[in-house]
Amino acid sequence: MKKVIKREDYDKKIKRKTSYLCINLNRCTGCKSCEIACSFHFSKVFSPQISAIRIWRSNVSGDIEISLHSNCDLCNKEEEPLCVKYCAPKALIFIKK
Amino acid sequence: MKNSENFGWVGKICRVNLTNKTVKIEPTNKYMSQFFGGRGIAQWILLTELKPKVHPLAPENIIIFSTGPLTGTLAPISGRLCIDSKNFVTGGVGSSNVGGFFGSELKYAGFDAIIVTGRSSRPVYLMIENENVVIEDAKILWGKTTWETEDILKQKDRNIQVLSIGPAGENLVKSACIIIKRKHAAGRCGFGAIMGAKNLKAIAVRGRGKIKIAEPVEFIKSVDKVWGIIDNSSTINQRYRETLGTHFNTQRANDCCTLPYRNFQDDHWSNEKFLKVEPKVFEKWKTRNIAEFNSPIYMSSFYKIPEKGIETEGFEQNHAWDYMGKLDMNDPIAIIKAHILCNSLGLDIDNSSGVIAWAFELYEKGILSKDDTDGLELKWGDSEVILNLIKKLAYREGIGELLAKGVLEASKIIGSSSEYYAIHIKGQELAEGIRSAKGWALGIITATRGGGHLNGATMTGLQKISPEIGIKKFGDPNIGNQNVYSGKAKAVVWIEKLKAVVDMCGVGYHTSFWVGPELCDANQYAALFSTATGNKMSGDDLMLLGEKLQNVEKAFNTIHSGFLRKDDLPPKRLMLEPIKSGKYKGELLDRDKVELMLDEYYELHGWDKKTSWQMRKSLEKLGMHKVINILEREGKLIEKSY
Repeated sequence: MKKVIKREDYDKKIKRKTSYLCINLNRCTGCKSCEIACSFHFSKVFSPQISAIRIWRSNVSGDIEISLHSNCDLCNKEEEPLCVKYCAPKALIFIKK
Repeated sequence: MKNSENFGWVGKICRVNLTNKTVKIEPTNKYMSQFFGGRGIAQWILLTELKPKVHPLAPENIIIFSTGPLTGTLAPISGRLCIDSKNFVTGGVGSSNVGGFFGSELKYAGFDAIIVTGRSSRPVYLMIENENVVIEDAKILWGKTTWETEDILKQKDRNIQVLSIGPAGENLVKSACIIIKRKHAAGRCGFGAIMGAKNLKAIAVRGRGKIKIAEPVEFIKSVDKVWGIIDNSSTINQRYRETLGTHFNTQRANDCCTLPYRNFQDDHWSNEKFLKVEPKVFEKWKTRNIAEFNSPIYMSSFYKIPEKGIETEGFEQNHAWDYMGKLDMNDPIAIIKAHILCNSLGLDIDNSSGVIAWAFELYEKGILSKDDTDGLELKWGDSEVILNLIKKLAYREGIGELLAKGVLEASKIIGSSSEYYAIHIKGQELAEGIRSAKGWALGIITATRGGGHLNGATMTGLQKISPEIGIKKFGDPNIGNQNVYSGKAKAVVWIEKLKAVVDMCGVGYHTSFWVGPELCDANQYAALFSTATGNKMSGDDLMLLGEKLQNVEKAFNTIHSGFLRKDDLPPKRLMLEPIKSGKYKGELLDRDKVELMLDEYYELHGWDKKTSWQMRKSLEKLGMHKVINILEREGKLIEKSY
């Protein structure tokens, strides 16, 4: 028999899955604070190499690329992702539904 | 200081000898008995290892690229790199602190510092990758601009960070500098030429390592505290976040009469001129705010002007003093072009504009004629001629050969009254207007590297600090009055120490009290330092090290360049000709009052008032016995004050 999931349980379950990391590229200054904050979340050291978020700013055009690795857990257990917390220009915003 | 675990630091320093092509790795701990990082370790090495008669361009000269224990961490503005060497312009202390992403990358590559000596027989560059240092052939890079060099070295991996010299450095021009990420300059001191003389075109670095922290939880608490101070700072929010970065300060500089005009004929711009080049004019080309590594403060903007084919990170405050003010340029496009040209050719904007402005004034006064200037008419503000002269200077073409010698040496060659128009501190070109703000002036004239507002130049007067804060911090209600002489030495000596602390920590100056009284003092840096490294230090402990560093640099200047009290005086022009317009019209640097400020300054340091040199008893009090021995050996230690 198919298990019936109560609506409130479903919402609870969905809650984490429907949190978003919104990126506003125009606001990003390319400072990489998010990168080092991210590495600190993973292993309490500073090392962009292990970060889930990577920033690259072109010297030539000033354009910015932001890549997010699939191992990003939106800083589970933290109040908000550390990349968002240390994003001074608020280019990264956390939306929790 | 013990630090066997390497927290904060990554623990290794690399020594490269370009003559023998040897690379030696040493533990950072070896150098930490006196100072704990960056400028401190570098200046100590220079004082103890460099013989006084070594010419700055000789193979024996040492150039040190160093970071601090907070570089690469989440402590704000942590991408800084200190570069220290014997100063090519003054012959004394050479020190520059540069932003970008190089310092942090160097630590991720496993090094706290790189010490380079010797001279390669052919052009080379250093490739540093994950604890490996290789000396590579730079034949294809020689002759290239800093922008081209960086692009070539980044082809393999776009995350490589590069510092390089341009044609100016290769041609041993005195105003040559080192450029990082196209726009960040390790300016002053002729460091570009020092690298050029070593045949060292560039250093490229790529790191995939990590920086460990002694007390991660406590460290983050200290970081959050500083981050909060910055976020709540009205100075930061109003001046550096929703503006064009440091360029925004031009308005305040004009109100305070610190914007030089036509080689310091005045320190104020007319409203008509100001409107032509005020920050607002540039805003239409801004595509985004730009911040350096881990900086919550945005120092500049990116500009795009498609119809002119211009795409560049914008300039900062100094460029307004230099190419807008000292040369009276009013064309915004040409101003941006001068910024691009200086950066790509590897020319320091302060020093290059200084010597060019001197030539313009000599032409105006009839001391130089068209015969001397390759047929060019040096008319103030003529942007075409100015851009042409920048190129001539970098390539030593025609009049560029004279200008490449720097304003002091060039004025000695021309003679007559040209020396009066050579506006320099200890031989290095002056950038800032200093007549109206006395504490600002004192910090600039006493700066060990020869001018520059990044040592003791207090901005308490320019910021109009309230009497309450003045009393609380310095016991003086007048500290916020920019044109009052008395009491300023106290602020200058305090700011000198704070800057030394910031440089040793390896972070940026814009998080500190220097920028606004609500920002960080040594206590905040001590909390960051202690939790990052596990070595407990108080703010006072760090300030004491700051004082010691100031004494190391003073000793270096005394031994290597023999500077005396007279060398701490401002240029004659600024003591004789008052400001001609603006709120502080009539202000000049009164010789007698400057002498009194200097008396107070030397007294606070415990230096001899007659010579300005250091005294045995003051150094003994600081426990600096090695410095005593070095000064004694050279016969430059004062036993008794006169």
